[in-house]
Amino acid sequence: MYKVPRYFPTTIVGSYPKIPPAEDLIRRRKREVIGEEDFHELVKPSIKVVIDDYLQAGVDILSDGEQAREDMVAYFAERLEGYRGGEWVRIFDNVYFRKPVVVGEIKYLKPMAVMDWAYASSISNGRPVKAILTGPYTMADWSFDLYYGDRRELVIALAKVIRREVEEFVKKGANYVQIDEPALSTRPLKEEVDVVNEALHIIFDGIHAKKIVHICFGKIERILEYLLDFPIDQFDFEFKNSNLRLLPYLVEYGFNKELGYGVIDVHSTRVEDVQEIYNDIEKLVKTGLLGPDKIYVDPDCGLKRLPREIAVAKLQNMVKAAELAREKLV
Amino acid sequence: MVDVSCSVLGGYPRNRRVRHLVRDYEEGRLSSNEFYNALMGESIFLAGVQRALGCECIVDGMLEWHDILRPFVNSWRGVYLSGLLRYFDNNFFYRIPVFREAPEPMNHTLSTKFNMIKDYIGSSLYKAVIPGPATFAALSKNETGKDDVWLAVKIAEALNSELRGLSGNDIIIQIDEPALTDKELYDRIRSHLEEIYGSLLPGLDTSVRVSVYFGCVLEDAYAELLDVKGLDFVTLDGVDCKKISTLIKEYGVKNRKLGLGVIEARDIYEDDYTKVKTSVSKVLEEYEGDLSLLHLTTSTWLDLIPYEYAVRKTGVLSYYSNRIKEEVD
Ligand SMILES: [Zn+2]
Repeated sequence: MYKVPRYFPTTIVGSYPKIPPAEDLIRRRKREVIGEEDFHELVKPSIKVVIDDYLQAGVDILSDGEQAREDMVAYFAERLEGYRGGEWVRIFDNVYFRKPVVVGEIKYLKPMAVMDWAYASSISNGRPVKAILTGPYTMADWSFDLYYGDRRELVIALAKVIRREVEEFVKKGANYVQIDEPALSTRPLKEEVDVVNEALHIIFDGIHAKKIVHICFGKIERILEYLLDFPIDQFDFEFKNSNLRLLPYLVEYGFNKELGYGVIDVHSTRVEDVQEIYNDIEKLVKTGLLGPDKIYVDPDCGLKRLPREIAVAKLQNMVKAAELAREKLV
Repeated sequence: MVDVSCSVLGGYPRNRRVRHLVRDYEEGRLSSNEFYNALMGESIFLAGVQRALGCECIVDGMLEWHDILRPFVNSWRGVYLSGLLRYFDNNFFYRIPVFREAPEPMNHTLSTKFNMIKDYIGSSLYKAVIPGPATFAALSKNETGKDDVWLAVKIAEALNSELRGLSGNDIIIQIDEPALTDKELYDRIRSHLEEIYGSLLPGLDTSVRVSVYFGCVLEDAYAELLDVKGLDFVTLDGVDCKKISTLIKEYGVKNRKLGLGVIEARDIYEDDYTKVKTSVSKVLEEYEGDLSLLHLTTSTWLDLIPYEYAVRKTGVLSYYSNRIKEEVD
């Protein structure tokens, strides 16, 4: 079994640039040219490419690169009862996503993402692979609801099915479970945090694994003091894109959990150099807020929008910077 | 007796054909002429829908706009585009304009489109929608070395020159100021609305309305807005703000007409007529002045929902407005 470094372990948030065959498979799956089982079998070579890239870069805690997922909401919506496929809604410029529609009671059907994780784990040379699921608040916010008519109710219903999936992961041996809630930064309000907190209790209570929540891009400082009540071990935040803007707020509110520290800007193709990343790690260490065993070094968010060669180059420098930090800052 | 009219607040989403047109144009497979001619057909269709449904004024759909600021940024000197930022509390992102100096219009964005639509749709009232100077400045990055109020005034001057390019007494102007619902954004230009609008409105001989959405207009901002001279209309978001009647009771509308967003434009569920009627009645009850004309509209632009629903909501707006006209007095 691979031994994750005790200090400044490196990891990733989740998604990775789509390997071309995976994109084609997603289209064929959608048109029902191939079935669900064949789909997950056929997507394996793409996952293998991702894992090889991670291993080559030297990342400690991996992901399956979300090669099977068209996007983080539609993938799960298509595999749950109560959803129907949506139509195109704009995200920016001329870029769209299919916003799914809740039309009935949300029910769990069968494992949705465990098989890709299991395959990734089997080829990771013993390195742990994170189980990564889209959170109930984000699922709800990025769907239209024609059934529940109440956001909290929908979030809770989704939390219950996500709990089922988490149990499947843990049964198969997942030691790291991450829930992605990027939508929470849309409405940085205490009422909204309270709903997510309630949902996280449903998802995580009694689960034995490292429990992580990823939130990114928004005015997180407005809700930071309430977030600290979440029943989790680790928060993963974006820092690089906003010039470490959140750092003084962590100090102000006495941040006391493990921190996934985003040091790679996923919205820029410029490759951060080793020294630059090291300097950012040093800035966090110098606050005296967290010991090096509580700092997980990773990119701001998923890498899916970057060209693959840029993603690899960024990860390589990130790993080298963490090694340097282990030498100099411990 | 209250006279009730209606119109959609702003832009429409792109349907499949328009999405492909935009893509082909951006990737160089369509010339500018080919693109705008093809797009005109889509605008004419949407105009026809609004006309047939009895909308008081007609929008062209703003189908080529990537976001509300973009066409202006693209046609002004002194400002360039940078990264994406969340547009209020939507899962939609706009590109941040970065101002290096006072903007200078190179050509007019709002120009001749309405004239072409008129050839097909005939005489009607048309509505040109622009981002308000306060919102424009608050959503931008200011690298001019001057303060945000200065920038907002300069933006107002540039917008004024755009608006003067619109000719004809059958065009009305709507100025969108969603930033007046957000304290952090409003603080950037607080107490200066009168000054900013003093640069926006001169020389416009048409009806001008201002529209605030994505929640409740801040009380201070509303009071300021009512002091701005030259605005005929104030439109508020009756879907995401539950205290409009309180606001109206407290501040009135100062002889302006009231527009009320009553159809949910950010969600696809079928709006409940009883709820719409109740919220309209509540506002009417609290208002003590002359409210002879009430204008009903969508809570915001219709571009955040799929195309089919946007067209459908236009119909719902028209149908509910007609019912309210008959049932409320
Ligand atoms: Zn993220």
